[in-house]
Amino acid sequence: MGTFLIVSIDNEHKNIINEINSEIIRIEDKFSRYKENSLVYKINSNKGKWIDVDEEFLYVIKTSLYLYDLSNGAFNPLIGEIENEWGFYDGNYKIPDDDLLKNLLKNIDKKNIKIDEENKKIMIENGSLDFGGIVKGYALDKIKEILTKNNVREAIVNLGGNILVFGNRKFKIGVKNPREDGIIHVFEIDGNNTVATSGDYENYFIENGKRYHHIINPENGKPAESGLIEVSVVSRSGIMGDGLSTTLFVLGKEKGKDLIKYYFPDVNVLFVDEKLNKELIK
Amino acid sequence: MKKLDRILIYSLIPFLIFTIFYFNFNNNKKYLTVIVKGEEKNYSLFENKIITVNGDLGEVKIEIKNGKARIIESNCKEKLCIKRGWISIIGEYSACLPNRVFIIIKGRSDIDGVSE
Repeated sequence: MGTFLIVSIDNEHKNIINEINSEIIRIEDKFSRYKENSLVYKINSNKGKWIDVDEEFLYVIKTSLYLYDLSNGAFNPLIGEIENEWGFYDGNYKIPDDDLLKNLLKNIDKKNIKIDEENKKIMIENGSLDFGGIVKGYALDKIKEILTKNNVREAIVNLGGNILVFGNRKFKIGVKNPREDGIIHVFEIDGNNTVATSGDYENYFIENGKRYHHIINPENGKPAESGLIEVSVVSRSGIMGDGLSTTLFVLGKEKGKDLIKYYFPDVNVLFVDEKLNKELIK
Repeated sequence: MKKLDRILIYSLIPFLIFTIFYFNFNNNKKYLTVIVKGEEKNYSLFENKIITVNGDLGEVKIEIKNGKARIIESNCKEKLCIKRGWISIIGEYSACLPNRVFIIIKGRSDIDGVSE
């Protein structure tokens, strides 16, 4: 599928783009569900077998499962097969029948993921791992390390809509209006933050006047109908912000606010509902 | 760092072709940059027209109208680029990744980026 990268940086450091590109490709090559040489592909195609992984892989899967636990499964790293049934990967859009969804839902409980931390091994019994909801944010965290290492003073990185602002000043980041052209909100944020946005306008199809979007509710295997159409999260941690934007979209505003209040008091969140009402949580 | 020193670098991953250009801060008006397979070209947003470019899979049509732009035709399967609709604010963009076509609105702005 690929994605795009926009880096805004000073002339002196422009060659860092090569290092950033290489790092993103390294992450893609490891965490992609579709690349036949990736670790995720290997785990998914060897169900019931222990596969050797490394610290980085353990960190990403444990972060996914942390969000799974906090959200009672609203964030689910096994949801990919269900997304595929809806055609959100290849554009062959269709509404899957309920029996098929029921069968696939049996595979997405986290008990299907076994982790042996001591020996750094992972086994999937059913379902397929998919880190699409978290890996772009993780890549931004790694890009932040590259910028720090190279003594970059200021940069803005946009990786497929997820943004990292880097530097010692206030930045203004707009959030796309989910229904009209233009932006619906502007975050004024300190440097070294990330902004992740999930919306029902990114990948969707319309059938009989109803919009079916790609953010699946793991409770029923259908596009989430939480009353929200866009959630944007400002977070120091790219991986957490990316995962949270999906999680909060599925949970809805009230449950989402509780989650933020108890577990993520430092993040800022913009909720946009179906009537384009905005609520900002700081 | 002075804003004037800043440059933008684009990349369509996993396609490693990217281009570098300098912000044109002398231009008060916003304008459209179209990047096709790493080659970029600027267009006025105030001359209504249809632009046809050759992407990796075939022709992609871009409409410019009254200060806005959008992708209106592409032979990609998902059509996410067409669904994206109009872009009009500086920093807004639309991409047809299978065709390696990227459009972005540029110009002077106090917004540092757009998340979506």
